[in-house]
Amino acid sequence: MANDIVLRVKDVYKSYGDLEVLKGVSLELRKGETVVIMGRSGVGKSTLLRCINRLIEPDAGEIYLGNTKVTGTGIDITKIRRRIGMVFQHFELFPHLIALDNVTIGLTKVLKLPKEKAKELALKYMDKVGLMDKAYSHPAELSGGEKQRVAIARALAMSPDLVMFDEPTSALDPLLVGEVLDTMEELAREGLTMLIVSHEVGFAKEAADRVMIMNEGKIVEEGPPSLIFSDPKHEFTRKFLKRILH
Amino acid sequence: MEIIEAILDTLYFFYDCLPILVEGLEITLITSVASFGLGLLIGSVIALLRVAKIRFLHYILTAYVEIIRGTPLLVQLLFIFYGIPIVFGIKMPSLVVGIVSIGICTGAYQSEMIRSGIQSIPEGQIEASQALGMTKWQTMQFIVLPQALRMVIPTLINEFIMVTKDTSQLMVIAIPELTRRASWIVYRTFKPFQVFGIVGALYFVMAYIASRLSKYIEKKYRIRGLIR
Repeated sequence: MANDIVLRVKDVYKSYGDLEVLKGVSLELRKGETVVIMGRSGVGKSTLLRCINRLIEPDAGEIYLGNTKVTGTGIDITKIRRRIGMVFQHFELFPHLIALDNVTIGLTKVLKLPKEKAKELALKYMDKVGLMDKAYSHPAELSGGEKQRVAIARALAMSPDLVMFDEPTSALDPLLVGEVLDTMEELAREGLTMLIVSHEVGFAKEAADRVMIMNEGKIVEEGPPSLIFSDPKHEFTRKFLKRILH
Repeated sequence: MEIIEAILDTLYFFYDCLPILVEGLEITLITSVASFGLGLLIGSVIALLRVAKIRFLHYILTAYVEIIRGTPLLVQLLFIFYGIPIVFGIKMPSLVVGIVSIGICTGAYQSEMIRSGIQSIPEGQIEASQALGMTKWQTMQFIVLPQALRMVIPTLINEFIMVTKDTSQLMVIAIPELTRRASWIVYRTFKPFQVFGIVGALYFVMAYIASRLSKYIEKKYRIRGLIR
């Protein structure tokens, strides 16, 4: 059983000066699982994701990706990051590169794949997110939803063990949220391991294996969406859900 | 009739001056391009080192930029020209001194331009490249610099125009560039109005070509669909 655990986070702490953002977060993700983290803004959800690939340095705690230790000194973090995809709230596509090259750049520069092979793979993932016809457009020529799908393709093409999504639909026009969520739902069905910070209850109900509720730097409650949304145990969860479900 | 004669006289005079001035123009162009190139090299290295935030280098580089910005080029030029032979006991050709002096000066300005370009790239771009597994240098090379340099092309070309005009100060260390040659002709002929008129026009043409070139380069490297 132990070796189908993709991600193990143990007692992670992070503060900025006097502000304690993460106060001992622990979680595990099994292979193929889709986990949605919910919670008010500012409770440290984004910080948690950034600690996992060490875009932010955690103060304490241990993180493992499969059997590889992520935290600690003397670790080549760039080698680990290529195994963890990340999709950002504001897409963060590289504006000077066409959509296709946004996907190939990680393949050629990080994974050192030959150009032809990288292009072939990138086109495959552009097709997967339904954007074959936009492969040669620059990011500025794409809609928000299209940008986010390119960002998803960029993450997927690296064949990561895990993809993290940081509020992937929060910056989108309501009309465009659907196309991104549909893509993510399909990925969940295909068994991609995903850790998602999101407020989309509908999506969580539909696609998540587990939902985690975060408050004040800790995960206060977790369970399958059917349970969390219908019969929350924790007082905070009840209040929080009332507000977002209403 | 008198007017036509005067115009013809002036034209003949221009024609006589031209070979001397064109030679000067060559030196002006060579020193401009060489010192701008040297400055670009110095500026890029300093910008990268300052962005890398290496503590002890930081103070030295900040001091360099501040000192250069706070003193006139003419003073720097004379200081280096007379200072180096005294301190190091070597005499360098004045052309080299001129190119190096202006290079050091424009290097300080260019480093600030490039640095502001680098720092204008949003943090999210850096996060996204690092999340892909790029090293710091790869992020700089493939993501930050291509965007930053596009942004500073107009400012850099503007700096090149400034440099071409600054080379006129090289006359004080006896480099026979355009302005110095003009003053030779003026001493001999006492026609400052006509001579400096042509010289001004020649500088203007250089600057104008450079600024058209800037527009062209900007257009060529513009990121499609991105309005700035």
